[in-house]
Amino acid sequence: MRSPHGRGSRRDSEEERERLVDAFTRVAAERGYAETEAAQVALVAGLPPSAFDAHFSGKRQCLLAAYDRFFDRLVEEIEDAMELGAAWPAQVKAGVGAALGFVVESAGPARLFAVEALSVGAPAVERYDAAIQRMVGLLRLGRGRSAKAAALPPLTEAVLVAGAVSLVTSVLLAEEQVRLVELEPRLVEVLLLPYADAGEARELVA
Amino acid sequence: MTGGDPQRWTEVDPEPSGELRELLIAAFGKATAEHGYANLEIEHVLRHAGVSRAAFEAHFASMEQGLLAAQDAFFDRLWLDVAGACEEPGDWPVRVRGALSAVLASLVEASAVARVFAVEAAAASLAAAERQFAALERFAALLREGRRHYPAAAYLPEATERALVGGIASIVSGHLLMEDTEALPLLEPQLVELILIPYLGEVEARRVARA
Repeated sequence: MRSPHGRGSRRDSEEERERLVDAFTRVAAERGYAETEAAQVALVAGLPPSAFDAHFSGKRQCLLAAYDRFFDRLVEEIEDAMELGAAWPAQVKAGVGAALGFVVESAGPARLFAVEALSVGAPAVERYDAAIQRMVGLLRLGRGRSAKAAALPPLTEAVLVAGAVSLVTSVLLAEEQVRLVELEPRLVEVLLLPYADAGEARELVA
Repeated sequence: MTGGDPQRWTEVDPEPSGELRELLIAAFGKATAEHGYANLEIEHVLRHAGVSRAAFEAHFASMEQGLLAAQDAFFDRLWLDVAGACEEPGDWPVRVRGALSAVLASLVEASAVARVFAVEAAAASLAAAERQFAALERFAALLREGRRHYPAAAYLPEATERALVGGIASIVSGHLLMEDTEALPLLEPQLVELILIPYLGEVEARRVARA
């Protein structure tokens, strides 16, 4: 398969698309989604303006592709970190640390995807929900720790994860990324609260 | 007054200043519910308010200023719902249940406006997003009063209330944006239980939530 504007292989085409998604993420994080234009994205990607139209029906579609990639990477970082932990509470701590590390490194895009992306409506919400559900699945593993945890309301993990995301987003909005590091022990404590006793959670973050 | 002719009011402003501002804020609510936050034009607001552009400009320096005032009014109304429920007789957990019930009922009743000011606005405007987070902090501070009622809760993690309020708001926002508000009342018992667990423990929280 040739690239959409007439040259190269399928790999070339996929590389072009990746470059456009990268460029879109950089431009939109800097200028804001509303001020982002396809021609500027193509320029930053080092591609002709026609390349953008060949890969995306519009900037909304490109935003959603960038959104998918950002959350895929975020969840992969969390999953990788959690595999390294021994006990489940330690895994949660490692997962939170990995998530915050990723967000600190990509604060501009994180802010774009956590707030502005919702302006495109339902498709962004569906993606956000899907990402939250992946994190919910990881946290739900804590239910196996005790009968008390097993009886928690079904929405427990969704509220906890969305609450943690809300806290992180408020720090990003205030452009106080340095506070994200301070947030780590507080998030770990809150996420463990329904599963561990308060002393255990506090000991882990101490 | 809706659907008026803006030209009618160009010369004379028959409303006292405060009332006209309230009228414009209400018109912002109706117009954004109809057109969405991102597509709103000043003419939509003028039509709903039945006032002239000059009258509008006497009260708001920009569209965004008007939208932020309307968003403030929306959150103030939710706050009054909560405050009203908190003043009802009964123990603290029962009042918390009443407050959440009142908020959900308001959101369902005015779901189009709620979708605009609780979800769309924050995505479109940094100032609106900041106001939304300020509102979450305000509700979290109110919930934090539970620590006074239940001494064991004094040792809860500092971020407990903000995480609970933010998490619940996020789930409710998702339903608003997907126009699935019928499901919100069904979530109420679970949400009440989750809010109360840190203060009452699992068993008592479940009992209050399902009473």
